[in-house]
Amino acid sequence: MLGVLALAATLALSACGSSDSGSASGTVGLQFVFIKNVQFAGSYFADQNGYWKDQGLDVKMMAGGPNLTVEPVVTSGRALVGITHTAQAVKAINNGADLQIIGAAFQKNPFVLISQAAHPIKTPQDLPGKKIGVQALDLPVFEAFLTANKIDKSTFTIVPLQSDPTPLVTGELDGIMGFYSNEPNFLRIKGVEPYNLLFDDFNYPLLEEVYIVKKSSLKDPTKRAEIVKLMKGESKGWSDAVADVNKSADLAVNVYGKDLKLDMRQQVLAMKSEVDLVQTPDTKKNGLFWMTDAGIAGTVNSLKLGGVDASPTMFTDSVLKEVYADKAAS
Amino acid sequence: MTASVVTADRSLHARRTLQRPVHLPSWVPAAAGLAVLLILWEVIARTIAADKHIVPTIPNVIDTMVSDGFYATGVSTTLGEAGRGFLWGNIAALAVAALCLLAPPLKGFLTKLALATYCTPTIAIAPLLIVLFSPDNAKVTMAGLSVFFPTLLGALVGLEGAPRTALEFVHVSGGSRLFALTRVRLRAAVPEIAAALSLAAPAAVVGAMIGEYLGGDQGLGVLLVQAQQSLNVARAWAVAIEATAISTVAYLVISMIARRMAYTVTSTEFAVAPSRRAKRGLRQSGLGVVRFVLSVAAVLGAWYLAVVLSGMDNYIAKTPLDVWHYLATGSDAGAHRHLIASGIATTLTDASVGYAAGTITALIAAMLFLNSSLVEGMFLPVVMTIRAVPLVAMTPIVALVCGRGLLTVAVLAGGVTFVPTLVIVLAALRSVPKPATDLLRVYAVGRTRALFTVRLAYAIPALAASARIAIPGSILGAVLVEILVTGDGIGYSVATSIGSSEYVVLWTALAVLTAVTAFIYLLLSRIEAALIERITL
Repeated sequence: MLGVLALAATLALSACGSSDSGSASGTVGLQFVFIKNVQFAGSYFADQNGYWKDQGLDVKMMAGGPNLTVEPVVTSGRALVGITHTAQAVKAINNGADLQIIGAAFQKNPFVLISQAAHPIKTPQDLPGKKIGVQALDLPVFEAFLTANKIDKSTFTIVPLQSDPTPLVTGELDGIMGFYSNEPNFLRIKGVEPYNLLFDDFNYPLLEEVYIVKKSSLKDPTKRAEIVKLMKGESKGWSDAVADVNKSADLAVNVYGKDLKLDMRQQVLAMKSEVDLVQTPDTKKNGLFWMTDAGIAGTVNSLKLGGVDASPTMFTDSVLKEVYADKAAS
Repeated sequence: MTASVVTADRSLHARRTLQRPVHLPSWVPAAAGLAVLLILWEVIARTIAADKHIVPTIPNVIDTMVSDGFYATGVSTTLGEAGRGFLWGNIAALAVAALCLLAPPLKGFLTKLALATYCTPTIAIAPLLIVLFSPDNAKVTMAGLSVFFPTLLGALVGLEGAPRTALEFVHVSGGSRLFALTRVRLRAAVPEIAAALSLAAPAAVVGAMIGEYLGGDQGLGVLLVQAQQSLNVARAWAVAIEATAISTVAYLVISMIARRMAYTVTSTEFAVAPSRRAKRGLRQSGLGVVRFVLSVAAVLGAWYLAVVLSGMDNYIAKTPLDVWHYLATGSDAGAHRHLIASGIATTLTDASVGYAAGTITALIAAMLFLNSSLVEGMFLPVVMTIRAVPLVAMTPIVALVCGRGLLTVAVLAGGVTFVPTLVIVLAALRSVPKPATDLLRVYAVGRTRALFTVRLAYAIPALAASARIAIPGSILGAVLVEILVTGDGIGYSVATSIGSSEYVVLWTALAVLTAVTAFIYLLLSRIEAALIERITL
């Protein structure tokens, strides 16, 4: 009834005040999905080495956080390009957001089933009889992964996990579901060698950390040119990043995320893991972020298993084609 | 949280100094109380919580804090955001309060608008704020929204409580409302406004920190996110303790100024009684209903216009018509109603658990304090500063310690309830009329029995008074826990609708939540007014 007045009030305020400023000053925004840690190392290189500036593009890197959704920031024009989770982008498009996916930083699904290397879980078929920890929020994805591999979840035990993977270290659990660049490294720091079962290798492929833009921006020649320049910088930056893990971590810890108190050792390990996700035979052939037809089809299928209705038309390689056509010419 | 809390607090201080016969400086038991709590923490860290990555030891926290350089940039960033939010939020609140007195017909509409800002969880509208404002201004806005309503309420109580004789004098000598406002009301309202401002300071810090969950390059909220993600428990605690320290200092400094200013008021006639209500005839209640319907319509109209004028992408911005369609006329409307209704029901249950936990704890604490001046001297100062603890901003830590269940709900939603209830109840228990206590003494009634027979009866209106603030607070606390921790209730709908871009669900959930909370608030205000009327008559 009285409803949402806080919103209405602030909307009214902004209606009278300035409309969005983002690109007016010649600066374009790149919205990250999380705070500035090593996850976005390629962008740091692009900035540091002037890959954007050399093309006359001024890019503002915008930090994300746990409470930020990237899609509205991009549709509102506050950011020209956003880096987000695939499922989230697809859901936004399904709900009417005018967005297009133009590239994928991670060629592989970063979700993993982690066990101790001493007692590894090597295939989904090893699951029966085991005790697996899964965080509440990850449960839908885990169940979709089981469906994809035709594993009956009553044949083993799923226990709710907090963010702390210690129960795996102590042997309380046989395995936990986690993020390739996260939990396994925590185990390494604790002196336990992890075994990673990548969901990607077992019927659950996913292009992740996707780049999104407004569909209408792709039709606007000026904006399209800016998008191509931005992605060109990203591509060069990420080439540097995968080539120099230590420098990547250094840029995150000491330059771009210097007030976040990042831990150098954790960041180096995380970056090492990320290289595995970013660089594949496909990217060596086609260029970074490339989304092959097979990759898109696999992603659509995996999302469908998790109840998210995706379609190949949501993805396009047209920007990357321009990015790399130019590279080949020069 | 409101002015009345602080008023009670003030009289409590006065009484305490009168009663204490022991000649210890008051900081001695207070320091001892703090020491007891610290020892308790250390013992827990070294025994039941050892090696669980939950509760670090004190030396561990101090080491981390020192080697991290006390998070100087984080503190200054968060303080900067909170400070600007504090400034703009309070200026807006004072301006609206002035407008209410200059143009009384607008008051109903304006206060309802303001109430909505209080009843809407800022964390849920953050994703929309980030679209409307720059990342920095979104955080400032969140801090500003957190202080707006409490300050408005305090200012209105103060401005309306101006000495009647002085106002009448202005009126008969032909002075305008503006003259009355600036020359009489403002002067009389100084203590109430100052008191409200002191509580607004920690609220602004909480708002800014929750805003920082949107992400950022600096700030205590950002540091907390990073510490949690890298499982650095000692750092998470260190950041939380610094956040507590800065909001406590802000609260103490401003309330010290407030106390100073309180003595500058010259009038002895300070009317605290509520504005007298005319006896309601049938016609008046009819008029009241009409006025209520009109202000709701005005509010919906404002919402509609604001959405249309903001130029926001219509996949995020939804009007009342979209919400109506979702709930009433669209396909699956029945299922949607069920989703929202069951979400609200769960949230209200969570809030009740928190409210009950907070109230019971507050009652027990009040009785302990009443029975032992040593216990009171040791722990009351600690309790008083608890209200400056940005508890909701520490939800991740509370979840770490208490798990993802009802306990976290009880602690967070209860924590919001605990302090206002304790302060008001304690004041009420002490202010039992002398004849009543004398009678008890004459009949040699024991302390405990006296407590249960007479004092508690006097605490009941106090509970009603605190409920007006505590219940909406516990609902907000419950929603926050649901969003960040348990994934239950209406908070779950809010969180999932944002994640899956179903913004019509978000707007509907917020509209219903705000309406329900505001309704409860207005109902409790009525009950409180009725109770006070009965007692003062």
